[in-house]
Amino acid sequence: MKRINPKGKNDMKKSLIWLMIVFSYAAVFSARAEFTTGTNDDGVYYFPQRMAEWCSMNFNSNLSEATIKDCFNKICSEMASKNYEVATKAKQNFRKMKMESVVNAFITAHEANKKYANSKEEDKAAETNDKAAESERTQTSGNAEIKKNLLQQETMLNLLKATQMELDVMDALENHCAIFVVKGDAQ
Amino acid sequence: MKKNVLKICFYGISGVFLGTVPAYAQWPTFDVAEVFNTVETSVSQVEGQVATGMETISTANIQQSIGDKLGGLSKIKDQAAAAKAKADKAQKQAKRLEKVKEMKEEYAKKAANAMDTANTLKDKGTSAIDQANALKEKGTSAIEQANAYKEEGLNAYNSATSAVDSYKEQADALKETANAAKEAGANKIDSLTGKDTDIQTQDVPALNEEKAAEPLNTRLQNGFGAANSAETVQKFDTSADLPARQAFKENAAQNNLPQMTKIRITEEGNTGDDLWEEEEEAVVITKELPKSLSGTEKTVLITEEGDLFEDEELPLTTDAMTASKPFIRSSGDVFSKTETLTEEIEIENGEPAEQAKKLRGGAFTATGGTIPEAGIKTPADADNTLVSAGAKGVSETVNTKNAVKNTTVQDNNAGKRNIVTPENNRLQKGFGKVSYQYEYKASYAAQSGEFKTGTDEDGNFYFPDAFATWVGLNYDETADADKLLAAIDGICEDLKSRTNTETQEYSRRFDYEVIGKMRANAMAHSAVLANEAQSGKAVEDLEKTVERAQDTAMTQLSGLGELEAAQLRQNRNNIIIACDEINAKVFDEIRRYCETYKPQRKE
Repeated sequence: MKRINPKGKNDMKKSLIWLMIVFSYAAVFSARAEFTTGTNDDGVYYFPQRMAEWCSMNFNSNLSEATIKDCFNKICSEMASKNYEVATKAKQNFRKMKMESVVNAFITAHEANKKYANSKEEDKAAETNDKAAESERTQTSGNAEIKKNLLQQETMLNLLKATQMELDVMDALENHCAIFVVKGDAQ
Repeated sequence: MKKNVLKICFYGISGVFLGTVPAYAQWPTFDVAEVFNTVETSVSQVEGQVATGMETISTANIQQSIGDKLGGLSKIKDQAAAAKAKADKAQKQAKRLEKVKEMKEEYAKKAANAMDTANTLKDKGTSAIDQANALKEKGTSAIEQANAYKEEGLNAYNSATSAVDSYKEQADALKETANAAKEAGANKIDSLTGKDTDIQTQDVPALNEEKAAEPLNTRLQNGFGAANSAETVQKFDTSADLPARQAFKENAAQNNLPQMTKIRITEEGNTGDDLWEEEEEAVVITKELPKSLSGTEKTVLITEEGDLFEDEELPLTTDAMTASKPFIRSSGDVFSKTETLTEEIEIENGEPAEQAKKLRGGAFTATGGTIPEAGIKTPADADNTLVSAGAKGVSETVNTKNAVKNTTVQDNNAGKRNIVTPENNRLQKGFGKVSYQYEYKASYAAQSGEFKTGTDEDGNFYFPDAFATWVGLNYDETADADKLLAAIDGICEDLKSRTNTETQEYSRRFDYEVIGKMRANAMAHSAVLANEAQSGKAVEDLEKTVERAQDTAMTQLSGLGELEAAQLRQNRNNIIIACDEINAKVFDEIRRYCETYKPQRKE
């Protein structure tokens, strides 16, 4: 009788087990590869890192209304969870997330203050005007320089407005979660 | 007993047998007497043996009796031991029962108490249920409201996110425009001059070509309305034009037209230290100063308290009348030049000086001298001591005619008492930096041992000094997020100190020294900016600029530059207000964060 190589069969089993292990690890790493962050590669802040991780949002992804809605519901649900550990951890996470937002707001305001509050841009502009008063050519160049500074100022102003808005959003989210009812609990 | 009798018989018979057999064996030769004696001996021996057996029997009986008695005693002893064991067990059980009884009584008491408590809780529970029902009703409406908030929050968040993207795009576009402008500017200069110039091209955006081609006066009119009759601006290219210039000035004076002045520029084109000199017969360009900068010097007075001098108050010294100082109101703002002043003093040589530098944060512009940008500083600037502006002041005079820069320091009130630090924060800015340092026991700053401040050397406020000290951040440092988060935890630790006294002190410091001062500064900034806006000065100046700018393309370009410079100032003010609002919110949030903070005690 021809003998089927039992050793070879065992090898095949082992190979299958190894394959499963490899695929499991691959799955874990692919999940990890979905790295989320609220700050871009240049360190420009968009939203708190905790929010990015909590809701699996990336700074460069399109944040649709549904995405934000799901994120807010997830945060509120976890904080209102009946599981004490889940709720406690979520509340701590939220407090830290909000504080990160606040700290970033302070840093943004501080940098803006440092750059503009005592910059005397208008004095520099007057000086530029005086220096440029020689001819149309120099005046045009001077005016362009002033215009550049104007645009930079306006960009900073817009950033400050966005920062204020983010703080307001955090407040709104907190208020929302304070009276959030987990689905099914209302009955 | 039977056994003993049988034994005796056995021994007796055996003795007889043993005594007689030898005699029978010698039967033929026996002697009767001898036999008789032998028998008698044997009988006596048997009798002796019987006696011995009897004695043995007796002894055995006695021993048996004793043994029986001993056996009885042992049994009694065992019984007694068993009885004792039972008695011990019974005693233990009795004790256990007694303890159980006590426990029962105790449990009964506890049960009674528990029943009372349960009844109390039941009552409370009943009312709680009522409250819960009421809250449930409220909650239902709150949920509806929350949904509205939610929608609002989502919209706001989306706006914020799209705004950030938009700003990034704007920044990128700006960068591209600037780079294009650099090249375009260089090309344009070359095309105009046909040669290389010493004008340094900069990384700036070019003007929109279409806009640049548009008549500037039209653009200005669009912004500020139709111009009135334009003031004449005359350009004097050579020294031969000087008589014409003089005639122009006289005409302006006679007809109450805005005074003109000039800034002489050398052939090198510099306006700084290289002013026009008498021996230079060079190009002279006149440039008009705003009407407000007429040939008068305005005196401002500051009282001992540092506030605006009022009529009923006497000036500190006569010399103070001539010192070039700004009026500073008790509200902290600077007296505007469009407001009526108490004194006007002619400049010695009758010539208006170069445009005075503007005082930071205020609208006041003096003529005939420059005021130090950060206000009047005390010469010594002693630690924690301020001297009133009336006591010591610095005035700086620039004589444009002789192109000589002189600086004089006047000590108008030497020897007089020092003035207590003004409460008003902006006055502190004007008079010098006040050094505050607090000892914080558990804060990062105390550990680092470094003195920190949120106000720079010129008195410009960035954030409260108390916060700087607390978190160990100086005004000129870049704030690190991780360091700040750790420092805020330190603040929360302090606010949750062990003793009530410490907690109260830290709370007072945070509420007053941080939140309070932040709000006070925000209000001071707002007051200054509001005052400036209400005065309408900026608009008036711009209108004049527009009027003047109608004449030539050159003046139009110059006017455009001035308008944009005004916009820079406006933007700066808006940035300050926005930063103040954010900081006020930040400190409020930190306070709230600390309220729910759980200290990590290090035992």
